[in-house]
Amino acid sequence: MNPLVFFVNGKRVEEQQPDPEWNLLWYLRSKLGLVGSKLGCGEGGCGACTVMLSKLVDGQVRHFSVNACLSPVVTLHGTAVTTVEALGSAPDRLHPIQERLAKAHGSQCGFCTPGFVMSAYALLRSQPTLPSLEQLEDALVGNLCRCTGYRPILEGLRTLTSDGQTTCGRADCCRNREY
Amino acid sequence: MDGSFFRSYRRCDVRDSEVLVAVTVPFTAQNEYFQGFKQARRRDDDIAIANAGLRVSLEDDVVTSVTLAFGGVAATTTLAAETMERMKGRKWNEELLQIVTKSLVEELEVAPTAPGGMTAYRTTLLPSFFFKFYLHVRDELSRTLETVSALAGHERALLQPHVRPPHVATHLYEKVPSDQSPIDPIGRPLVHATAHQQATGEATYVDDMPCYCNELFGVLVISTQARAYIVSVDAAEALAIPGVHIFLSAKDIPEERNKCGEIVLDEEVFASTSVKYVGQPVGLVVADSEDVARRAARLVRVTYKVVDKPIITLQEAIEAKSWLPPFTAYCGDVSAAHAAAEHSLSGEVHVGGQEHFYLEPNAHLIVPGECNSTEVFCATQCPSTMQKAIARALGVPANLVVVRTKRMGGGFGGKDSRSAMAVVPAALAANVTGRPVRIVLERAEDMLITGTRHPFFARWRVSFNNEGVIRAMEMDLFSNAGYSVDFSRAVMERAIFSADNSYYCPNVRVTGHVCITNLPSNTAYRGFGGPQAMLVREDIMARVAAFLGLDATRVREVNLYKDGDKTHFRQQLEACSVRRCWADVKEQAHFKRRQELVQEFNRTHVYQKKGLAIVPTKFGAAFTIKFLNQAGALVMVYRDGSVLLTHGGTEMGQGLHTKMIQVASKALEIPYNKIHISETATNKVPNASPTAASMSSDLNGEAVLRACQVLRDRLAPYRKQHPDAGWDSWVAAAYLDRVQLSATGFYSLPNVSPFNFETQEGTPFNYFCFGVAVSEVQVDCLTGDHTVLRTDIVMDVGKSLNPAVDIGQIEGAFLQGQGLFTLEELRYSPEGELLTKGPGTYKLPGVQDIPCELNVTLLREAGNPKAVYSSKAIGEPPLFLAASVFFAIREAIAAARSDERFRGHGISDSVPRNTTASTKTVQSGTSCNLGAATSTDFFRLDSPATAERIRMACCDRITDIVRMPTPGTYKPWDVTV
Repeated sequence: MNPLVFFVNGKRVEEQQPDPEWNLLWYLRSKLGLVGSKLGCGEGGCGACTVMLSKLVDGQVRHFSVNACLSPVVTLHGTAVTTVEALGSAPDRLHPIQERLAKAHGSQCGFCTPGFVMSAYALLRSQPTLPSLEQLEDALVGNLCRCTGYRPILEGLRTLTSDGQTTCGRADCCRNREY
Repeated sequence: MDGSFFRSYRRCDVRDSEVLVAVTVPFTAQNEYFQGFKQARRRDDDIAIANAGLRVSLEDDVVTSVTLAFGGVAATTTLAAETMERMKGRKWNEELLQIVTKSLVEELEVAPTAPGGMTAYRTTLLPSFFFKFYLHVRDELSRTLETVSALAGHERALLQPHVRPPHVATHLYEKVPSDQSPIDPIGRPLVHATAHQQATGEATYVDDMPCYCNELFGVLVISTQARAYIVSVDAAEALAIPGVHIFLSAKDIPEERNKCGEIVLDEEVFASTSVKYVGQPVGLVVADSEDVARRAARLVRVTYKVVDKPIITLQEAIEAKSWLPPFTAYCGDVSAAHAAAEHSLSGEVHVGGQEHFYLEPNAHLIVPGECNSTEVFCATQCPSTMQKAIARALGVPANLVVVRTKRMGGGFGGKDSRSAMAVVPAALAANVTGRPVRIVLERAEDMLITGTRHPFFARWRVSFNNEGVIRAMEMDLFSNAGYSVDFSRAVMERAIFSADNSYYCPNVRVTGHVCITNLPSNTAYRGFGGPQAMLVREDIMARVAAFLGLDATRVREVNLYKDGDKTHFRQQLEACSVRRCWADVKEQAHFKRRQELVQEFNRTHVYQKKGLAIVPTKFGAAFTIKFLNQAGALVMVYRDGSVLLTHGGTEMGQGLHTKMIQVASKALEIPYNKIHISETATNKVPNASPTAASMSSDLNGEAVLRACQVLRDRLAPYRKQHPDAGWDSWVAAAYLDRVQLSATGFYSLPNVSPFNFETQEGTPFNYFCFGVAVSEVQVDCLTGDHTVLRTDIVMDVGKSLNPAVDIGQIEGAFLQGQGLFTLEELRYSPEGELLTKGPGTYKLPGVQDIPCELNVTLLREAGNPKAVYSSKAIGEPPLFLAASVFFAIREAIAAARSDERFRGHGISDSVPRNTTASTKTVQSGTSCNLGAATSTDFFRLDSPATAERIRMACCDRITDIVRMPTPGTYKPWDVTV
C-alpha cells in the first residue's frame, strides 16, 4: 500500500498507517512538535488552529486557510501545510505580518495570534495582488479574539491591503504626517 | 427538488445507492423574482435562526407561480404550501401582503416547545422576511407597471443591502514630557513584552510544554444531572481498556481532603453522595493518552436517583427563597423620600450571564517530585490559591507544592478560583500514580464545568421630580450563584457598591440576595457584579426619562456625581472626574449635532431606526476583601547587570508584566530591555493575591518599586563614586564588595477598610475610576439586526503607565461588554444543562461586530496620588461603557415603538390584535403595550439585547398576531437563568 505523503513547512511527511481519526492539529502538535497552532475549540469556531493548505487545483497551486482541528490527516495526501512556525521567529526575524500585528498591539494573551497571522498569510498568498480591506475583514471572520477587541489587529494588518494603507483608516492619519 | 426532498431532520430523499451530484440554480426569467434572507445571532460565521428563499413569477402584477421556502421553523426546510396556494392569481398589492402575513403565521407557527427556542421570534421573522420581499418585487414591478405604486423613500431604504463602512479609529493620549529621560519608559506605548513570541507562536502555554516520557492524561467524568443522589459509580468497563491506569472518585480520598472551596469549604473535589449541577466532576480517568482517557471516561457508569426538582432559574430560586442571608447598604430615609416625591416608578430587569471564553481552555501539568513534593504548571490567575487547594487535597504542607504560571491564554476572572476544578483532581492523580499528569479541558467541558458571570435579576423603585432628579432608590438584587458560594458574596458586594453607577442619590437602599441554584458555581468575571448592577441603574435612568418624556441624556446629566459627593455606602468621592469625562466625550462625539441627525434619520425612516446614548461608569479600586490588598516582589540583579523580576501577579494578556518592567526600569533607571520576567511562582513570591480586581498593577507595582528602591540604595555608593561608569559597573563593583543584589518588596494598601453591612461603616475603595462612552446604533426593526456605527470613549486612567496597554484594555473590555449586553446568550435546558457549549452556539463578538468607528481618549491632565506613578486601575473599569450600545439600541427600539407608521404596517386593522402580547415572558423580557401613550412607554428590555429581544420589542402588527405562549403552560426548549 502506498504511504500517505504530504509536506509540512517544506518537509516531507510520510505515514504508512495513518489513523482516520487523526486530525491535522493533533498531528502537528503531538507528532511533529509544532505547537504554534493552538487548540481553542475543536469545532472550527475560533480559528486559533488556522494553517495554510496548498494543493493543486486544475494544475495550479492554490492556497487556502483551514482549521487544522477539522482537517483529517488522511485527506492531506499530496498537499503542503504551512504553519506559523514557517513564517518568522522572534530571535531571528519576524514575518511582516507578525511584525505589524505585534507592533500594532494586536496580541494580548496571544493565544489567538498565530491563527490571525495564518489567516492573513493565506489571504496574501492566495492572490497575486494585495487584498482589499474588505477581503481582509472577510478573511478574519473565522478568527475569534477575546482580548483586544480586534481594532489593533485590523490596524496592524490593514497596512497589507490595497486600500487600507493608513493604520487607523483615516486619510489624515497622524502617523503619515511629518513632525 | 421540491418540498418533499427533505424528509426529516438531517435526512433527505436520497437512497443509499444514490449520490447527489449537482444542484442547478436556474437564472430568473422575465417577471420572476427571487431573494434570500437570513437572520442569525451574529452576522458572520453563524448559522441562521431563520432564513428564507422567496420566489415569485408574475404576469403583469398577478402571481402565476410562487415558492416560499423557510428554514429554522421546522426540522427541515419547509415550503409554506397553503400560503403559496392562497397567493396564486392575486395581485401584488397590500391585500396580498396582509393575506400572506396572516397566513404565514397560521401555517408555519413555531411551537413553543420547539428545539432551538426563540419560537415567537422565529415565527415573527417569516412575515418580516416576506415584507421585505414584497417591497422588492413591488419596486421592480413599479418600474414597468403604472398600476403598481412606487416605493416611498423609507421603503426603498429598507431594501439597501447591508454595508459596513470601512473601520476607522482614533486614539488620543498625552505624550510624555519632552524632558523625560529617554530610558524612562513610563507613559510610553511599549508593545507587550512578549508580543513577538506570541505572533510567531513561540510563546509557550501550558499545553505547549513537551510531554514527559512517563506522562499520563486525565479526563474528568462529569455529572449529567443537576440535582440527584449518586447511587453508584462503576468504572470497571473503563479500567478494562488497555492504557487506562486509574479511576479516582470521592471514595479514593479521605472525606476531609475531598472538601474544597474558595472562601467556604462547601464544594467537593469529586461529588461524593450527590451532584448539584450538570458538569460537576464525579471522577477522573487517567490513561496513557488523551484519546484513551476520553474513550474510557465515556464508559464510566454513574447511576443517579433524582428526588427533588432542581432549581435552575432565578425565578425558581426566588420562589424557593434559595438564598444566602441577604445584606443591605443604605443611606438617608428612603420611605420618607418616596412619600415626598412627585413621581415614583418601579420596574424589573434581568441581566444575563456570560461565559469567559478565554481562548485557551483550562490546562495544567502536574509533576510529582521527591518527599511528596509537587510542581504544578498551571494556567491560573492565582497560583497561591491553587497551591493552598492542592496542598489541602494532598494532605501536605504548602511548602511542598510549587505552582508556576508563565502566562495564560486569557483569564477574565474565569481562571481565578475555578482553576481548582481541573488542577486539584489532576494533582491527586499525579500523587497516586507518582507520574506527571496533564489535564486539558475540551471547550465544551470547560464551559460546562467552570461557571460564568452571575446572571442578575433586579426589582427597583425610584422617586424623582419633574426634572428627573432622583431622590430615592430601592433596589433588590438577585444573583444566580450556582451551586456553591465561591466568590458570590463578594460579587454581590461589588454589585451593591455599583448600584449608584455614577449618580448621586441621598436616599438609597440596596439589598443583595445571593441565590443558590443547581448551575455551575458562577464566579468572578471582569467587573465582578458591577456591570450587572450598573445596567440595572441605567435601566432606571432610561425608564425614568421615558416616564417623564425627557431625553435620557438630560436625566443622566442632572443626577451625575459631583466632586465631594458621598456614595450610598458613605464613601466620599475625591477627584471625581466623571463630569470632565462626560463633557469631553460629548464634545468629541459631537453629541448634540448627532442627536439631531439621529432624530432626522428616525423621521425619514420607518423600518430602520437609529439610537444614540451616553453612559458613564464608575469603578471602585480595591479588593473588597481587605486582606487581599497586598503584594510582593522579588528583584534579582545578576553580575552582568541583567535583572530578573518576579512579582505576585500573573500575565493573562493584560500587559501586567510589561507595566511591571516599565516600573522597575524607571525605578532602577535602566533600559527596560535589561529586565526580564520569566514567570509567576509560589516559590519566588509567597502568598500572592489573585491577579484580579484590576488591582495587580497598583499593588504589585508598588511592591516592585519598593524592592527597586532597596537595590538603588545599596548601589548608591557605587553610583556616587563613579557617576559615569554606568549600571553594569556599579553592579559588578557591588558584587565584588559582597553587596546583596536581590531584594524583596512588599506593599499593603493603606486606608481601606472592609464595609461592615451591620454598621454601614467602612471605606471599601482606595479611589474610583471613571469613564463615559457615547454609542450610535442602527437597528433593522423587522429582523432585530443591529450595527454599532460609532463609539466614543473618554476614560480617566490617571497618568497612564502605558497608553497602548491601557487603550488595549479599554477597547478589549468594551467589546467584551458589547458581547455581554448584546450578543452572548447562555442557554440552559429546563433541566439545567448548558446548551451553548462552544463557539458554534455561543457567539462572541467577531471582527465585524466592532463599532465601525471607535475613538478612545485618555482623559487629559489626569492623575492619581493613590497608585504607582499616578496611574489607575484599568482591567475592569471600561467594560460597562459597552452599555452605551445597549441603551442606544433601547433608544432605537423606542423610536420604532413611538412611530405610528412602523406600528401600523403590514396588516389591516380588521385583524384582531393579540392581547397576550403584553405578557411576553421573562425570556424575551419585553412587553408590547401598543395602547400606551408614547411619552410613557417605559418598556422593559432585558440584557443581552439580542436580535430576538430587539425584534420582539419593536412591536408591530406582525408581533401582534404572533401567539406569545403563556409561561408555565408548556415546556420550553431553554430557560433564562
